Amino acid sequence: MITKMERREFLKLGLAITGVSVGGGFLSVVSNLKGAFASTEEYRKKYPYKPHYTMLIRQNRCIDCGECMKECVKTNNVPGYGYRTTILERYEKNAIGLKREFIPMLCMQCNNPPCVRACPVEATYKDKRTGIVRMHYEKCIGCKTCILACPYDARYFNDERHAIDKCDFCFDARLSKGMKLPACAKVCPTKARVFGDLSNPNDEVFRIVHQMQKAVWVLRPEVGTKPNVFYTTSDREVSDEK
Amino acid sequence: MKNKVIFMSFGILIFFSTFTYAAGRKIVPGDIIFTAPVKSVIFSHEIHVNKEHISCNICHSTIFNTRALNLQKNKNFNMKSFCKGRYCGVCHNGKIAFSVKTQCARCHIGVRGFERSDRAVKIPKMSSFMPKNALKFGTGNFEAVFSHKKHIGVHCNNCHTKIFPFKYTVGSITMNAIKNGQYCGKCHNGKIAFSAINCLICHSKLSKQNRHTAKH
Ligand code: HEC
Ligand code: HEC
Ligand code: HEC
Ligand code: HEC
Ligand code: HEC
Ligand code: HEC
Repeated sequence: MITKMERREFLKLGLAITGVSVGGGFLSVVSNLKGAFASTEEYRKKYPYKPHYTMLIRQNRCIDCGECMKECVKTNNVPGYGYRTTILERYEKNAIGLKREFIPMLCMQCNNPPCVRACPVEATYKDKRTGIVRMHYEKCIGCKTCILACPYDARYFNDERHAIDKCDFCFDARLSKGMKLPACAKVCPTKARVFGDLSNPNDEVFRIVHQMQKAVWVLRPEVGTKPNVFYTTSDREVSDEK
Repeated sequence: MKNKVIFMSFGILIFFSTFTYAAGRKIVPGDIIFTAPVKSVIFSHEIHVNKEHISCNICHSTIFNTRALNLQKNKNFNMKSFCKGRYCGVCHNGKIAFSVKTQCARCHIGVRGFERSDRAVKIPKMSSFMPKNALKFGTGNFEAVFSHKKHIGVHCNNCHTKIFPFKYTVGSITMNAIKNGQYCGKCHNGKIAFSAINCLICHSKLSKQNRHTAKH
């Protein structure tokens, strides 16, 4: 258990987040070891989310089996031309040994969301209670400004809804109905996606994000979006996870 | 303890085969892409045989049979078994080759990899990687000839390695054993293929000699 005092100390230190910047396209992810802060005390005060929904992606676990995407499509009626979550692949011909890497992607549910700022009609908003970036589908005029504003390519225009659609951590389809996990985190066979509450010291996500032994990073820290989707690696045995 | 012995003997065999196979590149089956339980995992004969110089017998006499995608029908063809040293885990344990607990995306090529492979990977015809030359057993008049070419219609799995190893070994087969339904006799029993009574088909030298004496 981490005490309140300790927690404050942690936060003062700033959480060590090793940055990964996405230069140009997502496929050219280059590791830059510039420090960035995940959620400083200032942000904790400003966004008193309870629960503070967060996803931690243990990137080296992803094997691109596609189960998360399949389940997401089923749960949220995502059409074939769009996605709420996807998996990026990177292949480095000259790497020693392992040359392939899969990077699961979804809406980062930013604390500082550029899409919300860009929307002219407040159709997309930061939910005051959960911190999830959600949609008022009926308000959306389909201008697609938010698609351009999003640095993570996490939004698409849904023809059937005639509105922009995006990941909401399955809030509408699952969380609001009392289920604990988004569809993708539930089905992932390698537990590459860990879903939790960043404000709960007993939560695995809290414990991993608030430590410094193992690198935890966010995508494109330089754009200042303060994502709530964190990335790390895991050395635990696959069969231990079940 | 039992495991240790197996590992040791694998180590020796791999070491040994490095020498025997270093000379010629082997023609091998194309990449095998497993799709269950998860999509998808690549197994490359090219890398295991021609780059790592592992001989066919090491895998095919004890670990795998020789029909693609048979393995994935087994319920226990999964990571748990591999971690316990079965299947791929016999070698991928961090000692002989990188461990299955690491470098997931080296074996797992995912949905994307599977989609690419459909178009990119050509599985060579079975016939293109069987030994081309006939194998001769015995000497003198009773020399018998086995030709892979004449068995093109039979899948490798029917012989390898249930009946024969992937290695030419002179002197292991006897006529008595054949008559008792072993080796060639597993099929050449008059039911699956012509019966062993037809001496001359296999012992072709005998037939030439007979013709020769008949002329006199
Ligand atoms: C490192 C282990 C390994 C080595 C060495 C190896 N194989 Fe295989 N082989 C496999 C595996 C695994 C399969 C797939 C079995 C399955 O899916 O059930 C396979 C399948 C096959 C198949 C079936 C292909 C098909 O399309 O049905 C043939 C034939 C075969 N191997 C022949 C060979 C020959 C000949 C050699 C030596 C030149 C060889 N193998 C060496 C592991 C190996
Ligand atoms: C007889 C031992 C043996 C078995 C069994 C075996 N491998 Fe390997 N494998 C090796 C060795 C040795 C290497 C190269 C060692 C290294 O790079 O660490 C290798 C390398 C590989 C590579 C890396 C190829 C690359 O691109 O560098 C893959 C992928 C792989 N094996 C998959 C498999 C799969 C899947 C199975 C089970 C179906 C399997 N192997 C079974 C010995 C084995
Ligand atoms: C040596 C090759 C190899 C490596 C390395 C490897 N796998 Fe696998 N994995 C396989 C094979 C072969 C299968 C079974 C065939 C299939 O599912 O397509 C499999 C199946 C799986 C499955 C589905 C079956 C099960 O056990 O639940 C999961 C999940 C999985 N792997 C996760 C991982 C993760 C996570 C890692 C890295 C920690 C990893 N694998 C590393 C070869 C490998
Ligand atoms: C009808 C049975 C039969 C079939 C089918 C068969 N083989 Fe063979 N194979 C043999 C026999 C017999 C030997 C010699 C074994 C011995 O000497 O004990 C042999 C030996 C081999 C050898 C070792 C050759 C050497 O010079 O050491 C390889 C490699 C081989 N077979 C590959 C294949 C492949 C690949 C296939 C499928 C495309 C196949 N065989 C199908 C019977 C068969
Ligand atoms: C897995 C079954 C199987 C095994 C084992 C097998 N054969 Fe055959 N063999 C066949 C079949 C099937 C044919 C073709 C059908 C026929 O002619 O009856 C055939 C045909 C032949 C032929 C006739 C080729 C021709 O001229 O048409 C010869 C010779 C022969 N086999 C020799 C052998 C010898 C020698 C062995 C043992 C080293 C052997 N076979 C083992 C199944 C087998
Ligand atoms: C399907 C193929 C096949 C047929 C048919 C066949 N043989 Fe053989 N025979 C063999 C093989 C293979 C050997 C082993 C050669 C060696 O390694 O010495 C052998 C060996 C022999 C030998 C050598 C000594 C021994 O017993 O191993 C004699 C004698 C012999 N055969 C007699 C016959 C006679 C007589 C017939 C007919 C009744 C016959 N064979 C039919 C395949 C055949």
